[in-house]
Amino acid sequence: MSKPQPYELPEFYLPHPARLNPHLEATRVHTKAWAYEMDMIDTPAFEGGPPVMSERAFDTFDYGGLVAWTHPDASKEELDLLADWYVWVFWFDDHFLDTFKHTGDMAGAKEYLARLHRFMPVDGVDSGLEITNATEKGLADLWVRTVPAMSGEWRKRFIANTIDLFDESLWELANRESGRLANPITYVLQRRKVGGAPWSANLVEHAIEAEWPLKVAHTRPLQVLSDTFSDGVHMLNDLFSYQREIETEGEINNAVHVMSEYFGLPLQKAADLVNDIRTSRLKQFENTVFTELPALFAEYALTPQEQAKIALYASALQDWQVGGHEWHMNASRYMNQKRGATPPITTTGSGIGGLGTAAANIRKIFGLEAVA
Amino acid sequence: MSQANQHLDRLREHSLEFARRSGMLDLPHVWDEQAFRDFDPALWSALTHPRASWNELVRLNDLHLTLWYALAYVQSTFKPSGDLAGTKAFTRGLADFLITEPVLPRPPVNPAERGLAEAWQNLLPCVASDQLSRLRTGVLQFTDSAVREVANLAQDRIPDPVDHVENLRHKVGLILAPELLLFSLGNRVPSEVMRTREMVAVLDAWTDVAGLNYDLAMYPGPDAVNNSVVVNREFLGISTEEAIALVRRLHGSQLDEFEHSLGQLPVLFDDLRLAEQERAATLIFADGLRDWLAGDAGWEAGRHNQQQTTLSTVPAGPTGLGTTGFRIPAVSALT
Repeated sequence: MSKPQPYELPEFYLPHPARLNPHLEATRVHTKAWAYEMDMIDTPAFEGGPPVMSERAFDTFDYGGLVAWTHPDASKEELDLLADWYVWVFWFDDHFLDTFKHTGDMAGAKEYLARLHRFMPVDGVDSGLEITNATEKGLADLWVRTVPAMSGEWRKRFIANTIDLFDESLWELANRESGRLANPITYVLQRRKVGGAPWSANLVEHAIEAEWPLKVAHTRPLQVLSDTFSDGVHMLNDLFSYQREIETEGEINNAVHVMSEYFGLPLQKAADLVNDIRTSRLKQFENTVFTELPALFAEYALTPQEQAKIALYASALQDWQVGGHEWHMNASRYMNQKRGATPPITTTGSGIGGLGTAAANIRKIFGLEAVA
Repeated sequence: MSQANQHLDRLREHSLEFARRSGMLDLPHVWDEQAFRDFDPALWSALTHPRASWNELVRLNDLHLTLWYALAYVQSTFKPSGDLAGTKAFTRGLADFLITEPVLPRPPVNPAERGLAEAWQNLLPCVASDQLSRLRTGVLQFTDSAVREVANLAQDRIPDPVDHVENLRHKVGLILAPELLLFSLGNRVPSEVMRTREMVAVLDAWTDVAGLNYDLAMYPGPDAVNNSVVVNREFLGISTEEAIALVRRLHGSQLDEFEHSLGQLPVLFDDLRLAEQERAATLIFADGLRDWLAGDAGWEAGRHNQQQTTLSTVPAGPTGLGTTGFRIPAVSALT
């Protein structure tokens, strides 16, 4: 992208440097093989249609790189699983919209989603349902690999967050977005709600084998960790993707745009404001860790093991946060010229892929954009 | 006062009696009888629930009244010294009385507990278990917001605007207030409607309108940290006047958002294949939400005027709070 950037990227607050998982290359190989096995690569959503995910788009997207930056300490097996989840969720989104935009079959879309829901039984046992498409095939495979280690409570939370992603796609399919510009309150809180970052935070629990202890799973401090993490991820992505979304895609749901319009600010000032919000959310994350978690531990008399789990969870969310930043800095598709101190390490694919045109929401949430 | 519930007078008598027997008027730094009469929580209930029948009105009133008291108690007892431990002990004590069976776990030991125990026991036979569970969550969110406010004061920490709006939602009752409104209207809205994204958007905006209105009315108040005016002023580095103007604008924006979101509801009716009665009930609830906001704003404005005449300590800045942008008849009827 050679257009001039609309603003200079602000100085990002980073709690610590990002680290890259050493299994990156092996996971890249694995997840591509998995996607082939699940019939996701070069498969059209409908007969005669373009592939939902071409091989080149798959490579350019670099799912392995995403999870390797955001989960630096995961084992090879775990990193493979995480990469496959992200492949699946992006496949799901693109495929869903391609399919049902083509047919316009809203009732069919709902039925399709209801079926997917049944592939995630809370008891964790194989649903026993007959597999009828690649999305179901992928989900069934992931479910069996993911849930045995997790409690019913975690499954419920994860299912709820996955369903939120389904709803978001359905909403998008119905084209319910009215083109109204959100005000700052609605924007930040709504983005969190429809976002996938809480879903990512659930996967962090799996990745580090440190589930929220049951007796505190309902408490505000843990929710705040997940929420402030999500806000941080979203604001960061909005700062990087403004040019793509606003100038190229005609999107209006971007924090920089919302702040600029609502407060009548020049773009640079709006970007700085969004960055201030991001920083503030990360500071609140830290404040929660340092002042509220010790009180929570005492109040609920958590064992040292339980305390360690929560500390590890918080630290892993920080890893995700800084890894997400690194990912954006290295991805050629973002406006990141100003701070190109780190040379791009993702060298797979250089061309422009054909990843779904309609689907912007889910990837936007994860701090990723489709390859335009 | 034509918009107030017809049972207002009876509710005032009942409320005074309720407050008296639970001991809410015994601590003059919180409330005494005169302060209670001036505050007039029964008027708030009657204005926000103009159509409720007596049985529902009295029940929702007693719960709201108890929480008003808890708010005043936290403000006067824990906030000045930033007593976080005291706040936590107080709110944990309240949680003990959010019971599912009509048996008290222990005798209540303070006015808020006595009020809650009585209000909750009276609700128990009238609500189904899922509603009870949501009401419980709502009360816990409320008490949690008090803990967070005191924690901010204790740490001398001014929350950022996102943090504050979230906490404000819990304080004014994102879950609790709509649930009690549904209850007051006979619980006729299908639960599937309440779970939709459209309705969630309505209730988010609705709660923010109430919360921002509350903050505007309370500024400048005894709490110099937990207020939208302060929070936005500090975060954005603007003047107090600019911050007040901004909060009023946000209030107006969320009111627009509320009305806009209400406008999306009819789309749901077909999506969910609702029966005529269910559609009608949902529209009545929508009107109930409007009435509630109007009643709440009118009550705040009334308090504001009253303070102006009795205390003359009210700042000159924001006048006619909460009235900008209101398309709701009750406000004009009140002022």
